[in-house]
Amino acid sequence: MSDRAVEASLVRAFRMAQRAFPRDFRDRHGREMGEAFERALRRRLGASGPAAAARFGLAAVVDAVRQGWTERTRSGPPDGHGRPERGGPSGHERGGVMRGWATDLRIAARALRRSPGFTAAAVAVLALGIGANTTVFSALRAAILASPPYPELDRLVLADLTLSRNGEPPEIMPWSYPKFRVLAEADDRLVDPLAGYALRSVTLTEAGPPTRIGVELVSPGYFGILGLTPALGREFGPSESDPGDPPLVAMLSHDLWRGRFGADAGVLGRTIVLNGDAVTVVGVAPPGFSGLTGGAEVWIPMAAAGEVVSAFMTRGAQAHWMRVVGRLRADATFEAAQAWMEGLGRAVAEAHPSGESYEEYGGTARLFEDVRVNENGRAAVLLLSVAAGLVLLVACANLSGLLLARTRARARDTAVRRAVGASRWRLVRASFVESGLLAGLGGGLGLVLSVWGTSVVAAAWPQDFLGSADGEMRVMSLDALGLDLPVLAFGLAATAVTMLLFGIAPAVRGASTDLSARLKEGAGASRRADRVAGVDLRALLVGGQVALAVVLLVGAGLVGVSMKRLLDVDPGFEPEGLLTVQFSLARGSAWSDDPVAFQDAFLERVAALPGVEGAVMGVPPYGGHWSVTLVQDVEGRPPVPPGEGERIGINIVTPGYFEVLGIPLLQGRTLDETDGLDAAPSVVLNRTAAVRLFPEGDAVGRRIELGITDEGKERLVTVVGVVGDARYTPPDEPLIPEAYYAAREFPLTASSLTVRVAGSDPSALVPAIRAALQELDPPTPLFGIRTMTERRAEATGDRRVVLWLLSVFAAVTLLLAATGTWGIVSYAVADRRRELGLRMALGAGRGRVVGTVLRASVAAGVAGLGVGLAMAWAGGRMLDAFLFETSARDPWAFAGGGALLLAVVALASYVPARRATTVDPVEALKAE
Amino acid sequence: MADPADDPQAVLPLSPPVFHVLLALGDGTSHGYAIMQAFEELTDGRDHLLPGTLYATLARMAESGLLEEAAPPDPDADARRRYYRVTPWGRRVAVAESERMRMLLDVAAGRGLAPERA
Repeated sequence: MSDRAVEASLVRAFRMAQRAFPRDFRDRHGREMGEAFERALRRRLGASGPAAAARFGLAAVVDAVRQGWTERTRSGPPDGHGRPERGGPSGHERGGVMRGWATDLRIAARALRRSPGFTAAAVAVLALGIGANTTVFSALRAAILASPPYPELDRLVLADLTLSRNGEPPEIMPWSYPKFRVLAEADDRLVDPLAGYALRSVTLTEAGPPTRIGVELVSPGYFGILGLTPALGREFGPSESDPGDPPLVAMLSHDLWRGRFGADAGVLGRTIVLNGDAVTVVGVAPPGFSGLTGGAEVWIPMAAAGEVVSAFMTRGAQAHWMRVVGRLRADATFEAAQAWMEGLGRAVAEAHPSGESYEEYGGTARLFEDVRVNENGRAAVLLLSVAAGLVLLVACANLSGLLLARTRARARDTAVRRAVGASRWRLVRASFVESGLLAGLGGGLGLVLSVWGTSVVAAAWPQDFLGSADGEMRVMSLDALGLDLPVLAFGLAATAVTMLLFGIAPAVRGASTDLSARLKEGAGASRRADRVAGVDLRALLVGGQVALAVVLLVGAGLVGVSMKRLLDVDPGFEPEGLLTVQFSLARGSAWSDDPVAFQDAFLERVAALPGVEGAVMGVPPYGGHWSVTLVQDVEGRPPVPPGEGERIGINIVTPGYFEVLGIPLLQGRTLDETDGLDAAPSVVLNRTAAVRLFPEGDAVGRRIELGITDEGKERLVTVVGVVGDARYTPPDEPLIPEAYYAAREFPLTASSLTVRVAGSDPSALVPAIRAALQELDPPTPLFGIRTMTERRAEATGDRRVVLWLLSVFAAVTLLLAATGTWGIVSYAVADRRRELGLRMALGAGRGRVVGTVLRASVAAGVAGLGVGLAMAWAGGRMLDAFLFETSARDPWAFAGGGALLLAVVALASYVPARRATTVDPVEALKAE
Repeated sequence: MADPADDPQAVLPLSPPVFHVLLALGDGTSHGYAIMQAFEELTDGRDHLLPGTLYATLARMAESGLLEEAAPPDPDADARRRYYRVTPWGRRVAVAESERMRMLLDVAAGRGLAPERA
């Protein structure tokens, strides 16, 4: 070996050894130290020859490593005499375990500060993973896990009426008030106490403008059953349950009491006016309680329903409108209560026979805890939890890749530490401390992210997801959704698990790094070192990220395809530029005796407003049905067996309804001013009704019976026209037959007004419409104000939220998988520089070299893709509740998700692979 | 001498590199490489300071007040280098250490352990 070669290699070794010093020290003294070494070395070469120079050089290298390491781990100010540390146990190792941790933490913090790029990437990745998890877990808690604050939830039951038609399986039914009396007065009740409840809306005219508010009609004992005590006053007593002597008393919700009555304790004994009836306030509900229906602002005794809401409610034995909640009697099991309810249902049917031979009433009981959240809500939260878990897993894989590359980059540092006697345990510990610090930073930022995320989710989460399946109960609420302690604990647990997951691999690797190999060699041998138990870690990480990301991509794709198909469903009318509002004539209004005159006057005023192109009344599209009945007879056909007629929706509309909404006329004529005046009613059918009832296409002129007959009118109604199918229910529900009656046929005191407005914002017209109503009838409020666009969005709301969140998660994982692949391939290329340079020097073309690099990562990507697609295939069931006319194995979603991911992986590999070909072969070889 | 922090005895014995740097610098102002070279010449090449130890020692001595950084001694000097000189405190410490060593040497001579001067 020539002198020059000895000199060059020793100089390089000393430079490397200098890296043992902390950066700030190197910045101050590094250059001078290096120069001093070179000059001293050269002087020795000249004076004593290469052997002496080499001895000196090697001694200087080892000395530099020792002093550098000492400098690095030196804590606090130096002792008074500036004594440098010598080899042997260093200060912190003598100073006890805690001081060691503190030192490790300081070292880790310094190391992270020194590589801001790595730190930023790792913290961002962790924050995304932990943030997504904490957000979803918060929603999960609020929407499903959090129990309502009622005592002994396992004893709380719903007592239900059931109805079986034509021997079909029984369905759960609401109770009628007379039937409820049978239950409430039964002997030896196994559900006791019990109380009925139902939500209606009424107009409140007191302490402010007339407002439509939710009122729960409840029977005495309701609050007690839920373990609630009024914040003020009392709840309803047993004496307040006689419909013959309607108890005109009310309880206010805490919010209404505060908002509208200024939290005045003197509110007790005051009268408020509900639907024109004066009722006396006797109590205020505890804070946060809005009834089992979730919509109550006022409670009145059920016995007053006939007086305040509608007379038929307390009288009609077949008017089913209320639910019953109760507690299991102390000595009763749930099963016994169920059996008892079955018997009771039969007793109720005997006491109040429906008169329909095909109907069979019964009873059952359900546990409150089983009912309170519907399956879609559970499915949505479960789905999103899995998605968030996948995001976290991908984040961990991504981080592992980052740390793997970092461990490699610092292999010499590690080797140096081992050289100066740091134990394997210390190195593992240092690695853990660094991971822990990262996890702490990422976790902290993740919690910040989830504070923001939960507020977004709370705002977007569909109300439908929070209630029971039949919509009669909604006790869950996201109003208070936030980061409470358990959620915080979950965030920290997720942080800890993440730390373990990505802390272990690099720690083990870092410690097992072969010392001599590391000191002697360059990076060339590292690829072998990236194998753990024969598995190539890099391929595993690329494949793993791809597999997890493709699951989310396919899931988002499936819901996206469903969403598109849902939005493509023809609404059957022209939804743009429509505004819908509801009204209900106040009790005692001057117009009550002649609602048709009111409708005419109201429509006339609204139509005269500037910008209004047309105004009509009737249930608007996406507004459900005024009523749903059965077609009982088609003239000229054999009689329909009772209960087996076609289900048909009924709507009551003013002239011009079809024209203003843009529902096309297909046959015959639409309804006009003359309809409803004589004794022979006319109806217009939708296309579905016409096709189902008159498959030969001869609907116009035929007569049918729809089971809603008014006194003095003919039983059969004449079909005068057929119109297109407009959607009254969400687009994922099947179309049903519809029949439209003229408004004059059934004078209604409550209806919806639909206005077609010129210009871009239909809601700008609301003040003018409100003023017009105020002028006509001051005590009547306007409510349910929504544009048709909003109604349409609501009709697809559930899926929208799921799609939106799933897409965010999918986008995040795609990004993570792309950056993760990029990072791992870059690191692989850097590692193989020498080999690739050699290949190019030996004449391999650029394409060949790129191919070599690409092959490895694309192979890993394809393998991951296969696993991921198989997982998506197997797990597709979870999505069933959110799919519409889309198979959970929709080939487009699978092909699209797979292709997108493969393209991203190929691109993320290609760019760093390209860089490999820019290696100058000579340089690459020289560098070693 | 009331303050024990002012007592040079409190920091004795000095580690060899610290004492070597104090010896090499003497009353002059010098930079790292020159200190290294001076020490080697003072010991006739029988002992040396390795660069890692030297620069770590210089940094710590400057931190603890035995040395201070100084302006280059002449305008032609390399301005990118750091120059050091011994502080008065450093001087007292060096003297105290030398006295301690002399005392030890006297003891050694009395026991026949010290080499005879030529």
